Amino acid sequence: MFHRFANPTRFLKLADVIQPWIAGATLVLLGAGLYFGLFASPPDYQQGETVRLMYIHVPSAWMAMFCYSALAGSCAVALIWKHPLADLAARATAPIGAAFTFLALVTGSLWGKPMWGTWWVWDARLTSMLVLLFLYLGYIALNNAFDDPQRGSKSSAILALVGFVNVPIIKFSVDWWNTLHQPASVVKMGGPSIHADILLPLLLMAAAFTTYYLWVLLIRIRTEVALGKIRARQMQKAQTGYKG
Amino acid sequence: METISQYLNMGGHGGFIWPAYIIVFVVMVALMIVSRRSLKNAQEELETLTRGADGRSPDRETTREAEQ
Amino acid sequence: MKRKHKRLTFVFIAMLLLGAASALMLSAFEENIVFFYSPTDVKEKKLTDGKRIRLGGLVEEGSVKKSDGAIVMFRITDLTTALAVSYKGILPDLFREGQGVIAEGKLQGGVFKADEVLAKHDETYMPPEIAEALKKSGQWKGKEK
Repeated sequence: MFHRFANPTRFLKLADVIQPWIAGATLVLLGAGLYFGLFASPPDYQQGETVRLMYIHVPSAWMAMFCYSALAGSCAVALIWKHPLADLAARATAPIGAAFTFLALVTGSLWGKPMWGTWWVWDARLTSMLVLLFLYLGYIALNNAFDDPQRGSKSSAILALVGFVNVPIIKFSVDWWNTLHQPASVVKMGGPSIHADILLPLLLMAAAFTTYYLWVLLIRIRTEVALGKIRARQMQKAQTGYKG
Repeated sequence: METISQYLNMGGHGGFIWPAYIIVFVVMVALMIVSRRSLKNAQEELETLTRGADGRSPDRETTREAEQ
Repeated sequence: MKRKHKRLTFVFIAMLLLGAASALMLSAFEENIVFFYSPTDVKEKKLTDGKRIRLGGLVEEGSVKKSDGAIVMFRITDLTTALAVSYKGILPDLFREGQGVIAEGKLQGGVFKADEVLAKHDETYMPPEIAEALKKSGQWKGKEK
């Protein structure tokens, strides 16, 4: 059953059908999220208007970790079962995850300055998030470092799996150690400690970021499929001898 | 006018909130544009390669050679 | 099929070992990962004067005194122990009585001389009117009154 979707040709057909829907969903969710986030929601009782930074900071951070989990999962599937699509999905995910990690760090810094009084501290949460960015960059660099794309994806997949230990560290850093960063508000025992008016734009933006990820992911996987075909054709040509 | 500038001021924190939203917007749009462009380039390259191999409609290189 | 299983087991065991190794490392470096100490930590561990540390807790209610020369005196409490802090400089926006705070500096003769004060906030978010209503009806669960 798994193999059916791992077939790149079948995947391309499926992608053609769902991509317009995902694109539409992204635009609608983003519009609604921005409307509620910037206009139709109250300020926070402590933080005032800066709570609006949460609507981009928290979804970016969630996506940063979600993309890394997807990357590590794809790499595991690519290493163990050698599915052709898993390798392409991993390669397509990495730059998107790196972008979200970068955004989480930058928006967090812009939120930290007015609220905490500092742009950056080396606490466990912030540091492990920076490590995540380096893991993404390391994966991308290692993936492109080899002439033989198969060796490149194998070594980088191992790096991605090793780096996966960082994901639970990020998630639980605020519970395990004293950090400047506050503990989780939404995903925690006993339900979220965010009022519904503030939770709504947060969830809308998180949904928008998720569909945006899927949208870009589809485009990038199609690119990877096309690049794979180009490589195959060029090899074919080189073998049969190019008659110009 | 008064209310617009008051809104943009965001209780004195507009200088942090707006740059953050702009950076997120710029990065997300840029990633989308880059991804779409590389897909287009790859598809075009694949098409020229395929046409060249089939010989149905010759690609630019062979056309130029035929003209000479 | 055999080789697939072999790879699966290999990846699984490697991940397990890696997880165990990182857990060991993190617990070994616990002291360095901790970003701040509570007043009780400072008292129990008898941290000596002059060592640069971060002290975290809540600003004790009614303890903030601003004197001239921009020096602020307040007490940081973890609800069991409180420690006096003196600080010269600009306080962050979120610095209020009852709110979380982290001060960086040295202990000097029983008083913590801070040269940097960061505000720490909790994970609760709500509109001001709701906070007001909760306080009025006595359902307020927050640390701040």
